[in-house]
Order: sequence, then C-alpha cells, then structure tokens
Amino acid sequence: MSKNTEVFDHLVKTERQRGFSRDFLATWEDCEFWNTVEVGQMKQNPNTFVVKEEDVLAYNEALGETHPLFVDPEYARSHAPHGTILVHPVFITTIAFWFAQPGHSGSWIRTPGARNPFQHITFFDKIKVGDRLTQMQETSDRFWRRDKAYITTHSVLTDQNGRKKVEFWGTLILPPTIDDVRHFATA
Amino acid sequence: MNTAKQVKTKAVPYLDDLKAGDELEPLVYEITQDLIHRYGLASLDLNPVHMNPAWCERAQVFGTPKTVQHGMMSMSFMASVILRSFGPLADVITVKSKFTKPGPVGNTITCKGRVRDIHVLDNGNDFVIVNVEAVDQDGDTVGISEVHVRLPRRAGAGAV
Repeated sequence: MSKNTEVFDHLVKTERQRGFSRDFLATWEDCEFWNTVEVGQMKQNPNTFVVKEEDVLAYNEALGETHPLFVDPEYARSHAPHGTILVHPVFITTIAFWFAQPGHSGSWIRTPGARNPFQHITFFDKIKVGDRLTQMQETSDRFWRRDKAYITTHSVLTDQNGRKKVEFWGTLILPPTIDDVRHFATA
Repeated sequence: MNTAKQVKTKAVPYLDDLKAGDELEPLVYEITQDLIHRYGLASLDLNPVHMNPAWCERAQVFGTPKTVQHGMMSMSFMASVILRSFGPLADVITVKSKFTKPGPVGNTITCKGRVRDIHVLDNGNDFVIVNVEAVDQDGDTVGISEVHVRLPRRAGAGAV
C-alpha cells in the first residue's frame, strides 16, 4: 500500500483494479510528455482488453445506475439483448486508461497536472461484456491555445471479429515539459 | 424472490414522438470524495487531482485545495441523462463534451437535457441530438454535452 493510494485502496474490488498501477505518481517519468511526444503515428497497442462483467458492473455502480440491465447480471441474463449487463457509453474511459499504461503510446493521459477540456466519442457498435478489444492509437494533434498546451489522442477500438466499435478523440491540457510535470509530480 | 425481475424496462421512445425543445428528466448528484474514489477506480483514472486530497492541497492544479471530479465522470452523468430518460437500451451513437469549470468536492451538479433537433434519414439511422448542460449549485455551467441517439420510427411515419 502506497501513501498515495491508501485513502482508496479499501475500495478496490475487481481483478483489473488490483493488477493496475494505482500509484499515479510513481510512474510519471515513464510516460510521454507534450513537447517530445511523436504526433501522427498510428500504432497498434500490443494488448487486448477483455470486457469483463465485474469491470462494467463497477463502472455502472460508481455512477449510481440502478436499472437491473446495468447492475443485475442475473436479470440481464434473461432480459438483456445479449444476456449480459449493459456497458455504459463512457466506460470507454476505463479502456483508454488501461491501454495507456506507462511505456505505451498515449501514456501522456496519465500526466500529473493534466486538465480535461473536451472529449468526443463515436460508437459504431455497442461494446458488450465478453468483447476482446484491440486499440489503434495516435497522438493526432498538439497545439497552443490561450497560452495552454493542448494535446489530442485519437483511438480506434476493434473487436475480436475485426469490427470497428468505437472511435474517440480525447483532448487534455498538459504541463508541456518534463520540468513542468515534475512540479506537480513532486508536490 | 428477485425483486429486480419485477422491473419493467422503459421502452426507447420513437423519434416521431419527440420534438425540438422537449426536456428530459434532470439528473442530480453530489460530488463526494467517496463518489470520486469509486469512479476513479472504476475508470482507472487515478490522477491525484481527483484521488488524493493531501496532494491537492499542495498542488492546487485548478486553483483550489480541494479534489475535483473527473471530467469523464461529468461526461458519464451527462450521458446517463439520456439512458435514464430514454431507457437503458437507448442507442447512443455520439457523445461530445466540454468541461467549462472544475467541480470540487462538496458541489452539487444538476444535468439537464433538451432535445435540440431531429434528423430523419429514412435509412434506419434516424437520430436526435440532445444537448445536456451540467450546472453547479450556483447556477454556473460546469459542462456541456451533445449526445446523438439513434431512435426507431413508428411504422408508416412520414416526414417529421
């Protein structure tokens, strides 16, 4: 248990949460930085995100969803179109953060001091429990606006049948250099 | 007895039954540290600006010593306005969000949705655009979203 995570470690409930690096500040130097990141190179993430029921349930419950199609797996088995609980549209966030772990393209979304100005998600097919998703990702833009450093990730998620499921563009405002990030990482 | 099985799933509305200006039922939530912690773990966004009150007092990324809600949590609640009004099976096809003001712990947020326009394509991809605005307890806008939702047509329905 890290002093940076001890205030929420007791709430961990899924296998993915247990296996995920929860100390955000421990790995900041292994992530990409605004001023040095490679722009415009679409890359295949080597990992596969398997959509598990417990992760979807944790997301839906965190948002206070109460409809049994979102939070009751037994009910969903007999009433949902695919027999599994429904995936909230913005569960994309979980998938994005899992793919963007230190050492992988797009890891700058884990920058201490980052701010979130705008996001765009387009769905081509609903994500379902059991899907095995792969990700193509690029840093598609990097720009200054009103003295702030903006950066955009563009990602495409594809399922186990090669079907495009989701395309999203996520923009953050970042501290632009490693020294600027260090200011926040060591605060 | 599983009482959940008594729940009647809300039917997704027909596009023909909606009109521009229709208001959706508001969704209200209070930003607590427990909510932020649970959302952070569920989304794997464990940035200390959300998760670590002691760090926030020192770093003050948003000019406040308090932790702030995740933008993506705000986006999620704005999308949930549609899921709760149109039913959990609503076919959300696009969500675009902007975050205009930080939401520190202790704030109460109300998300209000309104049908902006209705797109009749007659090819099975008819959709409505719902604008959702999230406002805090002072009436300040903290986020806005544009949500596109594909909806069925009534049999034999003509132009809207």
